[in-house]
Amino acid sequence: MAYDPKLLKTGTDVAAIVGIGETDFGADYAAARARKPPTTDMFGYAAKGLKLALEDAGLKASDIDGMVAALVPWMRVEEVLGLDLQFSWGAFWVHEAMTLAIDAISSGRAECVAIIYGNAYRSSGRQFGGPNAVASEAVLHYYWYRPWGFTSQGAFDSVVVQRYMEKYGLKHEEIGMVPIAQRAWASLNPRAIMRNPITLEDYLRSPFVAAPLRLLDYCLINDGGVTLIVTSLDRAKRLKNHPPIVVKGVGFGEDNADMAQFRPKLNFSRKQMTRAAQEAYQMAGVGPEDISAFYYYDNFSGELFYMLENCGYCQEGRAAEFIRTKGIGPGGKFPVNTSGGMLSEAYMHGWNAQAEMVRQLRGEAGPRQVPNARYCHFMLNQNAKAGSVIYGRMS
Amino acid sequence: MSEIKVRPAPARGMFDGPLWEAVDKGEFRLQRCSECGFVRYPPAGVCPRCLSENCKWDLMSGRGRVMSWCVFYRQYFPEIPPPNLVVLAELEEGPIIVADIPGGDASQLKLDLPVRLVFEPVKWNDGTEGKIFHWSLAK
Repeated sequence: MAYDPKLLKTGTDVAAIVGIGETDFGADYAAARARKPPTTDMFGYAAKGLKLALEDAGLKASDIDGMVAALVPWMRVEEVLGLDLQFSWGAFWVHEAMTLAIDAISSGRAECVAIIYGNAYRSSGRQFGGPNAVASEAVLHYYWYRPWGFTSQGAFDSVVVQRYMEKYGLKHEEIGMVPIAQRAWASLNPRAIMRNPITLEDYLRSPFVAAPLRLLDYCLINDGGVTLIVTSLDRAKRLKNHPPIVVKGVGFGEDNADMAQFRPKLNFSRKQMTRAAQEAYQMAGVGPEDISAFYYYDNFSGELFYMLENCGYCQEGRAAEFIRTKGIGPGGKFPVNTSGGMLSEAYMHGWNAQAEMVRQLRGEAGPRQVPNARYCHFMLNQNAKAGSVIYGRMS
Repeated sequence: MSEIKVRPAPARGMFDGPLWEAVDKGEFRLQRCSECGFVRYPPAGVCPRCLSENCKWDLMSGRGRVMSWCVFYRQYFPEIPPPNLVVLAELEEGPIIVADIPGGDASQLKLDLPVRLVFEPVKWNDGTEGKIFHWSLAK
C-alpha cells in the first residue's frame, strides 16, 4: 500500500507527557564561562534531568520500564543511571525519540518511558567549524569543503538565508526581528541563560560570523540535561501533579538528493519540511490555524522564515510580513519559542522547547503564559531531515 | 610572482584521488555514471540514481551559475584570513560546487550570475603541494 499520512492514526492520543525535568542551564553556563573545572559529564546532566522529571511527575525510578536516550549513548546511560528496563533504545532528534516512545507504549512493550537527553558540549570544548570540527562519513560536508574554509554549521545556514534574501527581498533588519523577540521571551524566563533584552540597534551592531548571519543569530553552546516522562493515557489520568499533555502528532520528512552539495537546503528544505509538517497535522487532526504557539529548532534564527512558509502558516516569500504583522514575541498573536529558544534560553537540541510546550499547555508558564494554549507545534530541520511534533491538552 | 598560498588539505577518501589528480593538471573532472549519465559530487562509490558502480571521470565545462554565497568574518582556519567570500554555484553539468573567490566582493554577486572555475598552485597544510580550484566571475 502506498504511503498515506491519513493512515497514521495508531500513534495519536495513546501517550501523554507527565513529567519534565531540566538542569540549571544558567548556573552551568556561568561555571563553564568562568573556566571552572566541570563537575559532571553528559551522564551526570542526564541523571539530574531524570531526577527532576520524576519529581515533577510524582513517579519513582522503579516506575520507569522504558527509555529512549537522546544524544547521550543509550547503553551506558542505562547503566550509569541504574535503570531496570524492559524497553531501551537510542535516538537523536525529538521526532525520532518521541516515535520510539509512543510505539513502545502503544505496542505494550513499556508503560512508562523516560526520554533522557544530556550533553556536555561546552565543557568538553566541542567544535562546530574549523580544523577540529566534529565530522564523520555520515556528514561528509562538515569536512569536505575545508580547503575553502566552508565547514561551519552556521555558514551552511547563512548561504540559505542569503539566497532567501536575494529571492524574496528579506532585509537584515527583518532577520533581527527573530532574535529580538526570542530574547524578549527569555527576559521573562528565569531559566534562560541570556536574559537582557536586545534592540534592533544591538542586533545590527552584532558582528557577522558568516554573513548574512550575525553572532545574535547563532544559538548558545551549553551543558545540560532534559528528561520527558511519557506514559499511556490511562496511567497519565491517574497521576495528579499536573494535567497530562497528549502527544497528538509526529511527522518525518527527508530529502537527501545531493545533500552534501546543499541542494535541499538551497531549495529552502521545502520538500522535507512540508512532508514532516503535513504528516504531523494529519496525525493530530489539526492544521496551522489550530496552533496556539510555535516552536522551532533555532540553531540559527534565519531558518524561521522559510520554515513558517513550509508549515503552511503563510505563503512562500511572505514570512517577514507574517512575523511583522502577527508579532512573535510576548503579547504577539503568533508566539514563537516562548522560553527564548536555543538562541537565548539554552542549546538543548530542541529538548528545552519540548519542556516549554508542556508548561504552556499545562498553563504553568507564568509571565510567558500564552492565553488558553490548546496545541503547540515544534519543527526541526537539519541537513536533509525534518521533524515535527504536535502536543495538545487532553480533550 | 606572489607567494604560494597555504590551505587546509582536502579530504582524501578512497574515491577522491582522480578528482585531485585532474585538478593538479588544471582540469575539473567528476564521476559520470556509465549507465545513466548522472554526474555525482563529492566522489562516491555508487551512482545515487541507478546504483551502478561504473563511471568515468568526465571533463566538466567549469562554467556555473551562482546559487548563493556567504562571507566569513570569523576566522575558523589559520590559513584562511577573513573576510572570505564562499560561493555555491551550479555547474552546467548539474552538481553544485562550493569554492571561494579569493579577495572577491560579495556586492558584485547576484543569483544566476555566470562564474567559472579557475586553478591556482597551493601548499596544503599537510605538507603536500598541488592545485586548488576557486570560482571566478566569468568575463
